[in-house]
Amino acid sequence: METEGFPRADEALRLIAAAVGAARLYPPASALPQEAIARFTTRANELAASGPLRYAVDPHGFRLGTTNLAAGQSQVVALAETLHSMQVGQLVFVPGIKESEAAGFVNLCLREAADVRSTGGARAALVSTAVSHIAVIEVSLRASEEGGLAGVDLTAAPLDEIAERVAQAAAQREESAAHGPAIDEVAEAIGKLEDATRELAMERVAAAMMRLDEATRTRVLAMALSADTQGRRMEGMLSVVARMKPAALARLLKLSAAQAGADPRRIAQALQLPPETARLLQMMLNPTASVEPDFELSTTAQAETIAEIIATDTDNSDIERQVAVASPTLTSGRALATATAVSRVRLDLDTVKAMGEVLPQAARDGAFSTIREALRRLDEIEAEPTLRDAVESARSMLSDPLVLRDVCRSPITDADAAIAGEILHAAGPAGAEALLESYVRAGEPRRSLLRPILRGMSESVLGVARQRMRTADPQLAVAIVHVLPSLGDARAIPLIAEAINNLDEQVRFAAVSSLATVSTADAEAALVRAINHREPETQRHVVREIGRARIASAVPALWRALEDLNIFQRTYETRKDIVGSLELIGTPEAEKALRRFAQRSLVVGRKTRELKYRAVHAAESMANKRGVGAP
Amino acid sequence: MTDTPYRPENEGPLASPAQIAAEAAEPSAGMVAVRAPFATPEKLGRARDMVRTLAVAYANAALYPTTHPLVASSLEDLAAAVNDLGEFGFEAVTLNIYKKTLFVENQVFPEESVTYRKLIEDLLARGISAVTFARGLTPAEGATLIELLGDPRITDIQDARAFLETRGVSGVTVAETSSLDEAGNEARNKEVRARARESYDTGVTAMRDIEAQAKLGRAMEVGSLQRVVESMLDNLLQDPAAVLGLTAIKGHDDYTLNHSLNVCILALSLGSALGLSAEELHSLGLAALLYDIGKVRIPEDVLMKAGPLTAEEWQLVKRHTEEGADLLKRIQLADKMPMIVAYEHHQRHDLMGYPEPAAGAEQHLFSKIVGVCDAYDAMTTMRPFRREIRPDKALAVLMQGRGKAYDPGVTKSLVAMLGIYPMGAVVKLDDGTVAVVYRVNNDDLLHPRVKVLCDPVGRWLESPEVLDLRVINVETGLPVSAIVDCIPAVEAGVDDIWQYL
Repeated sequence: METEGFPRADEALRLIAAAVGAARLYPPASALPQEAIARFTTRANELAASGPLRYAVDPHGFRLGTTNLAAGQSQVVALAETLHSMQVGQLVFVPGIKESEAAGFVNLCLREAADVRSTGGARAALVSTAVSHIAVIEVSLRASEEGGLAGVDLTAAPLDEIAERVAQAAAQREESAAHGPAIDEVAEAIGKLEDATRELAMERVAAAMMRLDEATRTRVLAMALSADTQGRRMEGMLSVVARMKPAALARLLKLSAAQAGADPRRIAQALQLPPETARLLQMMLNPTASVEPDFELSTTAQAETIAEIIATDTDNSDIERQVAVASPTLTSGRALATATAVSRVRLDLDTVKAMGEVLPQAARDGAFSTIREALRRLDEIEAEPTLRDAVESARSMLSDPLVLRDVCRSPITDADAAIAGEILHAAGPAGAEALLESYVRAGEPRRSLLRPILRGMSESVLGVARQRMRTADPQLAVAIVHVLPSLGDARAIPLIAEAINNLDEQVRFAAVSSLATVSTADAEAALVRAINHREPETQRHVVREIGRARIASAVPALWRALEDLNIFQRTYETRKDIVGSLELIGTPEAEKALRRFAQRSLVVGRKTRELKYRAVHAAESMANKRGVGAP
Repeated sequence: MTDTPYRPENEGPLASPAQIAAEAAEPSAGMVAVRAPFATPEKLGRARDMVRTLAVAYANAALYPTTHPLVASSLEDLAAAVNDLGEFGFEAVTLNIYKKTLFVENQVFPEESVTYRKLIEDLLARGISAVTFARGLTPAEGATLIELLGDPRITDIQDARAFLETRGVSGVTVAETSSLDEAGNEARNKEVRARARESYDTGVTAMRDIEAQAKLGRAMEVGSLQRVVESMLDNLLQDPAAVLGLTAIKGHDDYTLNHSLNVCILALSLGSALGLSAEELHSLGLAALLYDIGKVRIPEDVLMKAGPLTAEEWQLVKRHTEEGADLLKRIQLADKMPMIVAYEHHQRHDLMGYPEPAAGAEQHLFSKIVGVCDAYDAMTTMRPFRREIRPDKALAVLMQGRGKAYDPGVTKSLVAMLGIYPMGAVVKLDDGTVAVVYRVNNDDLLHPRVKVLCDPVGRWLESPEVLDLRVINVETGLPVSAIVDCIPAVEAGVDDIWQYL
């Protein structure tokens, strides 16, 4: 892979640049340059062991492919500038570098560029000093000193030129092979190259093969495979062919095999392929996958049909819906279901922890059926002693107040509500608190879902309600008082009755109204007791609510209150309310009480007279309703 | 319980996922990302009107004096057509000429390229390859442009610009290169491409580490993978093609690693096309990298077996989904999508896959995306035991399977995104040349941009040339070149597809 060699390529560059730098800075007698050269030699051989290191030389740096190496390092930059001034376009290291070769390269870098250029060039300079494992490729089209392939420098010439020469070499070889030992010019040309450039040259020749037309390419291979009178093939050409890229080689082998009526794998055996290439080649020589029969595809072109289908916008299924709910934050239920499923495959501490982690969010998101499955599974897992604590811990994740609050808000079906109830019940007082708070704040639709849960948890809810009514702000207390009758629990009555003595008037009023909605003896008795409330406005409210609720059992108490009220106190409004309530109650006893009041002889003041008149009028009205005349 | 004052009108119930979905299913809800500039017939019609009115105005001006009512009304029509496009959000719209073929923005208009040949030729003669009309174009400005086109003294772009400038025209701008010309974008694309490749290689290394951690039973550190996803997304935003092209890298040594990266890239591209948010894409990307991690627990000789699997071996292989979810349950992440996708990705759209889903369950969208991308990349990758399927056939297989193995909407979106002939597909043109699909043209999936690799006799070209197959021969009105066949890269002798993308 391209980037895998970067660190080692980087290191080799830095070391050689350091060696050149040391040679520049220190006198020849100093040991430092030689030490730097030794370091480079040792390390470069190690680094190049897995493959040649080839650098492109830019005016101010080196590249491997498109990646700049050792950027910003001044010694490396200086080396690049030196080589560039000598018209060097590539620098190559191959394994087997000797210290003398490294020293030869360093000496080259110390020379004046003009001098190097005028005396044959950098490459020739290295070759002349027996440096073969370090090579430079110049950018000028200078033929190698040994003549290359018919004068074409295989390391630098244009590929088209090389291709032409290669084809000619193959043809010439075939001609000579008919009469005796064949001349393999390709092998000769490559053999004359220094070690560092040999591989590069072969790769370039292999690339040049692709510039030939296919027929010529196939013919060249065929010619290379044919034996001369001594049974030898054109090994130089075959070694080049072995360096073709795998797919290109596979195609060439198939075409050649088709022409020769042979198996391409047999032809491949004539090539000395690197193991990796051989393996890939074997894969590539497998027949192409035929999908038509397996997938019932038409063998004719599908493209137009598919384009038509794509162009019609109607078949997008419900993709918009899926995108809308795709957010990971909405998948807690799914995550819990997955964790639960995984627990059936592999049960361990991590599985239970994973379930516990997801439970709270799933509860908050209302994934109730999944939660039920998970809780059931936890019940099963609890039987495993080593996991008992983990199970408990997982369950306790549902006791968080915020989670419980969301559990109350999430259900949208009765079934969900039932499961929510299980969760709240399991959470104990915290669950009751969350439930009560949610209930008081909710509208009727939600209340209707929560009501069964509320009733099922009435005891714990009452405990919470008692506490809250003592400490909460009046508005909340009012709301709780209104809610308590929904519990359907007789134990709520004393709590409501207690609230009639609350310090806040609104709470007292709410308690009275709340009791009036409950048609039980206890509630009525509490209201009757409250007729004598010390606070006048509350008293009046009690009286009115008794009338509205038509509590017949309150008549004696109302009569007593009517009678007992001190005429010197400002009790007109109260007595008026009593009269009104007695009228609303409408029983014979109530009528009798009114008539008795009306018949009182001592009437002082206009208001009292008015009250008397009201009582008379009310009694008559009640009598008329019953169809009985006044006595 | 909180001590905040009680207010009876406090918050209502939380919206459930089903409710959110119901709202989103409303007709007015956002659609998937528009793939071509004029993706709807109405938009296309308006673009066509703009071209027609320009051509008509030009033709009328050639026949009649500028004061003639016909000329005046055609200029008004032109201004109206430009402003009509503004209603679709086009604050400016550009008419491009590329190789004598007419494009509006990046959408080809083949018929108009032939019908309005004179207009095209005269624009080119003035050194103009692109004309941009701004919203609010006035008839007077249109008249100035027409006058410019009719002035033979103007022969280059500088003169053309000066002509407009001196007459105070701001609603029309002209350029000498069209946005379709490759050269201008090449340098920028190269940089993004290099960065994308670096991210890819980093991703392979990171996946290798994760696999090693998983095999040793150690906790997996996914931070490095999250960075890979982030980097991929950054590159995707800048140049989607550069990232998508990476899926042409088919590592034979590290099949699993390369495959995971490829699936991640495909999934991110598809997710982006579907309109997922940045947060969702991050989640999808991580899930797409880790979905097959369960395979570390399957014996390699079973996974790599050349022949058919026995029933027991098949059961073993199927377990990789549950094993993957088991491995991923441990990673310390609030986002549980990797675990979910690892579990679900083989369940299929029709829920006939494995592991058996719960009653009423549905595959998550991310699982569907990963499932279809997994299938596509697996089919198009050569394995020791079977050759690859060429990309167009692989897409046909997916289309065949929509509604069954694959979600119809997801599958169609994938095909629309990749193109009928996806990037990296090797094709044969009608002149016998072999090319690789370089870029998909979203407005015309059957006519992508290709890089010609070798000539009809098999000679490989030194510098592959980019051909836009939408380009029209103005004499015949037909495309200059057309694809006659798609061939497997190996059959064509093409290595390292990625280098051409």
